[in-house]
Amino acid sequence: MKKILALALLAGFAWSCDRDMNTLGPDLDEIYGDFTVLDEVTPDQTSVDFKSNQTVVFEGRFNKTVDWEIHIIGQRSGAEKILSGKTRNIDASNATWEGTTTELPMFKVEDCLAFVTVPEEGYIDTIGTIQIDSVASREGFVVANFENGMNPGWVSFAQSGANMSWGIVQSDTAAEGDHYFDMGGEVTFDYLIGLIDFPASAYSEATFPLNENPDQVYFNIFLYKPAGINNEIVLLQFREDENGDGNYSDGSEDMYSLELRGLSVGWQLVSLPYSDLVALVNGQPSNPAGNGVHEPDKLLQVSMLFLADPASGYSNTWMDNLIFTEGGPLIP
Amino acid sequence: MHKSLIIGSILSIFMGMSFSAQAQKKVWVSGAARGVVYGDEYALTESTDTTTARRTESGHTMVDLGVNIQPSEQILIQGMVRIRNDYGGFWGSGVTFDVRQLYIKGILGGFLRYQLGDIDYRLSEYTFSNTESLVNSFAGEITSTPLDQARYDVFYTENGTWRQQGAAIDFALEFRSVMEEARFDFYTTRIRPTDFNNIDDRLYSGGSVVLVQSEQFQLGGQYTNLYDLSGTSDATVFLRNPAMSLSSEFKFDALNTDFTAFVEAGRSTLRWEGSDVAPELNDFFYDARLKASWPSIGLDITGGYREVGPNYRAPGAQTMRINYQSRPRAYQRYGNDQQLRRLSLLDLSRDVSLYQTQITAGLMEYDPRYDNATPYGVATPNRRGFTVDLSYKVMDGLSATAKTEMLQDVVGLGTTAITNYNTTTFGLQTDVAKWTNLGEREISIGAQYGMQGSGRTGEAAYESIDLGSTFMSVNLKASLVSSLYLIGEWRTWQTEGNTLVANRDEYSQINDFTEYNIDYSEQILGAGFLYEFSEKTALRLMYQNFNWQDEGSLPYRMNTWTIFFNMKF
Repeated sequence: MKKILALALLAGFAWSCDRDMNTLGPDLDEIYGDFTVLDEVTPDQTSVDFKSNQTVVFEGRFNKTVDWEIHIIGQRSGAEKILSGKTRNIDASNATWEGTTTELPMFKVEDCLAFVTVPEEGYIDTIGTIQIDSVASREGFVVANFENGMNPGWVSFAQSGANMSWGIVQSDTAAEGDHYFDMGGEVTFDYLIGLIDFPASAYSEATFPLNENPDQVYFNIFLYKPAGINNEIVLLQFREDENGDGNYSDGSEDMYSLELRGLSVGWQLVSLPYSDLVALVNGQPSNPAGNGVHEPDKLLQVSMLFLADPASGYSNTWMDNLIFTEGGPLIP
Repeated sequence: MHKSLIIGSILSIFMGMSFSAQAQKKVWVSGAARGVVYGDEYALTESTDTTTARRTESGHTMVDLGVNIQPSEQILIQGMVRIRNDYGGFWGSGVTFDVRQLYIKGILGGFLRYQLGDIDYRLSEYTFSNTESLVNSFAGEITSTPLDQARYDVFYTENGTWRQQGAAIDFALEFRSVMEEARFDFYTTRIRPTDFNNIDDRLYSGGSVVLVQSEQFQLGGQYTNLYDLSGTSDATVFLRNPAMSLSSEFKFDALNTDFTAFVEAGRSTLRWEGSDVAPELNDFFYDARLKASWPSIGLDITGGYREVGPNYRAPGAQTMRINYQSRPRAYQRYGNDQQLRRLSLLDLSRDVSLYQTQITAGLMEYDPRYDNATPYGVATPNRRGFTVDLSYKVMDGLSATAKTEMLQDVVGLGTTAITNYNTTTFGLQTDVAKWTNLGEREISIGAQYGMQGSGRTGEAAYESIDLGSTFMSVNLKASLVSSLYLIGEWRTWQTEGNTLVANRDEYSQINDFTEYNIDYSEQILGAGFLYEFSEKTALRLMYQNFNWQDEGSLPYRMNTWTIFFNMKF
């Protein structure tokens, strides 16, 4: 009897347990079922004031989980924002547009065309037009965006070469705003095609008003390389006034550099923390001439030099929106 | 030269120990040796392959030398080294020299047995057991020869133990009343070392307590736990996977029948301590069986019902022997496009690299063609159903077996529709000489046939599953003269249909399904000669033809000559 009781006890132990009886894994309907749109994707507003921190929220609903993309294309700038996700519901958690850009240039005050696509299902549908009343403002110290012409405190120099273009251009294709700086020409006697110095004094500052932590300070610049150009060299120099005498002393104070070659065709954003800048001598990393400490709060001058091998012929690159941001790179 | 000196020195030490053993009987040598040569001839059967080598030869000679030292009656030390020379090695080139096993065992205080170092351990089928795969349980006279060596190499035993490194103790207490005996076994092993960075030591510990009331009744409890030892690295998430069970066996007689009732039930928990995103999986299982025996007519019938929950996780019982993520070493790529070759019956019989040597957390990937119903043995999660097992000794020299498992999902996979899994096998073994007038000669003929089907129907077409396998093995062992035998094997395996294979995330939960469509068959037809020098020493000369037909890969054949010498001492 005791033995039977023991067996019954074991059986009772087993049957007394409970478990979750939900199906295992993703629902097959989600994976293999026919795709249908339950609620069409729509924006919560058709005109938006990004400068006032407004956003556009898209909402829609499918019958199953799919990889979807919402494309918003600026009709004047050609800027493109892509929102994407793998869900069955499109809502504020995964489809909120704050005015940022996926493909440069940045959006302007313009009309945008929005459409939704589900590539795996071959589905594409127009959402409609969204009007941008004002663009989002980005926090940071703007060194130059060329929207208001040349700052009289800047020092610009261009060689006397052939086919020289050295100046501000107004265009819808500017990466930010309506203006960019065009640097082009063929100089057969020197690497330097032209340069611009951006001293802190041009902004009525003794040094650039930046955080002292070099890991927190990011330098950002938009650069555009036209198709067919492959000899461009953009050299950015950052001179520090370590002793606070209002001057940079070559050989006893730090100058950090950033040399850019082999840019991609089209607009691109180059961002890096100030602490990643290095001292260069003839293009090679070397020891800084000063205390060797990255001190963005002692930055006296930013210089941009456009160079090319004199034997390589004509070169050309555009630049726009030189800006220092804090805590992370610029989100265009 | 340097390696030769080392090997020479070690052989000298072993020989010295052997002489010493003769003198004192406290040091002796044991081990095994084998020599294998394979000659493979490969060709595509429906096209021409101008890229892959048509013929290859491979093989090796090896000896396992184990030194057994018994300094006292209570202590035994064994150290075993393996010296292996792959085919083509000469004068030390290609020779490898490894420590194969090392352990110390003995008795403390006259009652506590202990073992340190390498240990072989198992508990129950649901907690800690090294289960033979369905596909290899059909190996016959030709293919079981190299397969047995592979099992030996990775320490698979007939008892279903896993080779571990650690420590084990066991002891027993005898009682005058209430019960006869209480047996206690405990072990702890390390299955993964720390990297001193972000991977902790992973230990596997547990034990069992068995209360033997009488020869008719016993009650047992098993406990295992796979866990990360926090503090051995900078990791902040720690695996915890305990599994435990209670079991009972009760023998009684009734209606002129010997009955044995067996019940085991238990539960498991799988969690990742310190993780905010990992789930906690809790589930249980139970298994009840009743065996009826009629010894007078040689008939045994066992019927049972089991249910293993979808989230039941017992790594010691669910780690599979075959690692299906491995690729065969021989002819790994073939065809003019050098596509990867799928592992086959031929590879499973002779490629030791396809086998798992360590317990793994979670659930390993499996190949549905070789077993879609119970890839993880009886502890396969998400199965419930009836089993019937029959064994009948018709007469001396003739016996038959039959087994069927009618299982189904406990919960549906991606749908509420349930998949049914039916597996049935038949076996017949006869020694013709015993029921004819052929005298002392042995003419053993064995045949096994099996079939497995997985099926599901649902409202939508994509819910349907229909996968079927049939497999067969016919074997012959007939004595010719003295200890010389003719051996032969014909073995086939074919699978056709479709299913959905579950993809699992790092927490062993299903996150997707992959469509699996197959129409394939493979066949081994082999024959050879076996000469048995003694019970422990044999030489085989075998030839086998292997044929692979597959809608999803290039059909090919492989003809193989094998010379196989093995001995144990």
